Amino acid sequence: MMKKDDLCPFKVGQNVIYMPSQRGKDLLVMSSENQKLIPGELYEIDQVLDDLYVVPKGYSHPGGGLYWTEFKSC
Amino acid sequence: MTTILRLFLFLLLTPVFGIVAQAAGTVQDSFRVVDVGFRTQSIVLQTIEAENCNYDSSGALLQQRKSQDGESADEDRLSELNILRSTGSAWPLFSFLAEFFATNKGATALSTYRKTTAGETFQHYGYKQQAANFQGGLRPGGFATTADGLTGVKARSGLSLPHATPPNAVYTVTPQAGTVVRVNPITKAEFGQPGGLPEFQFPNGTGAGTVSGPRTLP
Repeated sequence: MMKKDDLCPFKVGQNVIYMPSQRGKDLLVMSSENQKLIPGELYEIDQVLDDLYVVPKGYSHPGGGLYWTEFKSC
Repeated sequence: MTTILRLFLFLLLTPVFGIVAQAAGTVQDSFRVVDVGFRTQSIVLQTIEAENCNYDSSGALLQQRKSQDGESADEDRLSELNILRSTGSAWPLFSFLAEFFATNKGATALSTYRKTTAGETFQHYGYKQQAANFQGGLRPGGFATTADGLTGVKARSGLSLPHATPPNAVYTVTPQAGTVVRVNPITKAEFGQPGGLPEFQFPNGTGAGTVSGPRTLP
């Protein structure tokens, strides 16, 4: 079983589903709609930063990638 | 001599028990009425002269019933059994003490919500590219903290923020007095960050004109 402190298990080019935690969603309420991902949607990974943060293709949030635990493999 | 001593003890203890009983609740029309506050379970209190008082989680008096037949008497006996099971009190005389304990146990539930006071300020660590989104104040569910003077990296760390790039700006939030806020004194560790700073969430937002900034972070 993966732990939250583990490194990101996903690879660039892999498809993942955005499944945010409640707090993860709450922390994004000040973001513009076009900077938000849609929960339950499938995204292709464009980059993995610092082996921890996932940047989906087309993601334009100024914070860059999101922590990998907000995604699930499909 | 023994009889006199017993009488003396009785006279001494009776007013003491009376005071404690008054602290435990008021007695109205043979019912002991106690507000159990945030107690989450329905409890059946002492049967007083074959009358039941049943209270629910909100503390409201659910039921007042006078026993009028044999079946009710059985139910009354059942209620006494419930008391003994829930309070551990074997003597009806001391049941009010158990009731007092239960009352105070319920009252220890604390709310994490409060209202802001006049002039209270908070800081929202975010991104200067999002400045336009703050014109209407913090949106419902928006977060802020009382920790000022943080760098972006320290804000990401202490507030357990989920993004790769640390905040590059801070906004000052000055809500109207009476704005509802949920208080979390210690942000939990999450997203690979240790947390530890206080965080405040505004379930209804803060309204237009309550946010100033941004100031660029080092």
